[in-house]
Amino acid sequence: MEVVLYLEKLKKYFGGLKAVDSVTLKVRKKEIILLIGPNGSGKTTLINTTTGYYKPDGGRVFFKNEEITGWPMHKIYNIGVVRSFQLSSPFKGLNVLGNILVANKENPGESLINCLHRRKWIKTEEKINKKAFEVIKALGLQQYWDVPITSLSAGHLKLVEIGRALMAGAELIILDEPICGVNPALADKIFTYINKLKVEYGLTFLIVEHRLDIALKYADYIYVLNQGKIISEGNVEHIVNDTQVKKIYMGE
Amino acid sequence: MLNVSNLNAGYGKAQVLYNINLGCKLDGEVVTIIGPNGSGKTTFLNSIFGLVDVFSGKITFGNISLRDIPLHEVVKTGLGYLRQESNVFETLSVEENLKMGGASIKKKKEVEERIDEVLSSIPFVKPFLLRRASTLSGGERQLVALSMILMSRPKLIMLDEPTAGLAPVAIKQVVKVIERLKDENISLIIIEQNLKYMLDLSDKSCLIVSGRNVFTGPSDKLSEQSDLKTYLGLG
Repeated sequence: MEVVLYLEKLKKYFGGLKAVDSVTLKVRKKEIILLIGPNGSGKTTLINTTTGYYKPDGGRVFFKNEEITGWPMHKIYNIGVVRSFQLSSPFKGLNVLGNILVANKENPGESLINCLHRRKWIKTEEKINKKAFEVIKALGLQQYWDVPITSLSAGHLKLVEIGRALMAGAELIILDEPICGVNPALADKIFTYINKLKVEYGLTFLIVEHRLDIALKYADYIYVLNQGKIISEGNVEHIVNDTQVKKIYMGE
Repeated sequence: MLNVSNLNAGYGKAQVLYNINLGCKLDGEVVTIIGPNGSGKTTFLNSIFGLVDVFSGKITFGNISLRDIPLHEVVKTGLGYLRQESNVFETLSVEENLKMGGASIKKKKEVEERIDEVLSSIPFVKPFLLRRASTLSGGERQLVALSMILMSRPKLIMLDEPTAGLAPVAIKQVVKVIERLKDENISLIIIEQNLKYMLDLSDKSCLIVSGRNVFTGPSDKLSEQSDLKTYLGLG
């Protein structure tokens, strides 16, 4: 399977702290890759360095064979790498549909000249709206499409974030703890939707998550990070039986 | 005893909680509150602590009616509250954070003694006493926040999802601390989604759905509740 994201000896240091220390990692197309590790092991820093939030101190980042090392965030977002943060930050004044619509990249009606000529953008607007409702349906948010975003629970907000990534045309979605603080039923549902997007839409996911009772059911491959280094990688069976992982991460 | 009876509360005109009742004894009793996201669990703890509008009902802690006293007085009653976010001073060291937790203690020597006392309850904090709080991991931060609360020698601590975002190894540390606090007769009311770790520790559970407590009772009876199955995604 095609490698979508390839990190080659990626490094990020903060003074003397080696937060990401020569990490090499591959994310293959149509796979759900789980990144786990103790708190403070460098998982979020790795995501930040991959997606342009931080500039790396060494190593290289490739997306679909194109080197994107050190690119700014917006440029990485534009080529199809979309990430979420641990805390959702939606546009509070908009409803669910509005929050999903703003992620669409093509908005011809916003041009100063075009805005005066309705026929130049009305068809595109209709298309964008149709696409937004498809996204809403794919994530099971139909009953919430017109409610204010502020009235959604934390779990549903995570789904809206995924919806925004879909709307932006993401090929690789990087999620930082998508089910943190979410009740078990909804948490499982969120992963069901992620899996559906992988199978039906061919999307790829790199996910940081601690709730293994739920996440492991859906993971294709797992990387374990500790003190900025990958200490183990493999399928679910390999990881859950790895004595080092058991000791360092599970506390067994 | 903390006693909440017929509590109705919310934000402005929006009512979130409807006739909630809950009692928690001050002898190390542990009560776990569970429920779907958005059901009003955090609002419930906020209303006990005086952070949201209470429309009606009684909240008494010992002989004190918490509704009748300002927030800074609530802290002095022996009630602690560990919220989900912003629970440590990022720019201060861990030791300074602990001193902030004991800000109401007047004598310097007493503060030092209290820090030693807290560190014997939560020894995990000792190795990073001089580190700046912003450099702590999620698990370390939770333990520091809990230590700050212990500085005021609370009789009851309310914890809002203390294991959220923590790796299993860090969750085990938090659970160990909770067990220890229980042994020291500090009562706890804990909101938790991670039932695997918390229900065994609890004397009592409270299931809140859509702002109403649909069950309050011994944790082992919780499994008989049909609402629990829905919450767990089994129904």
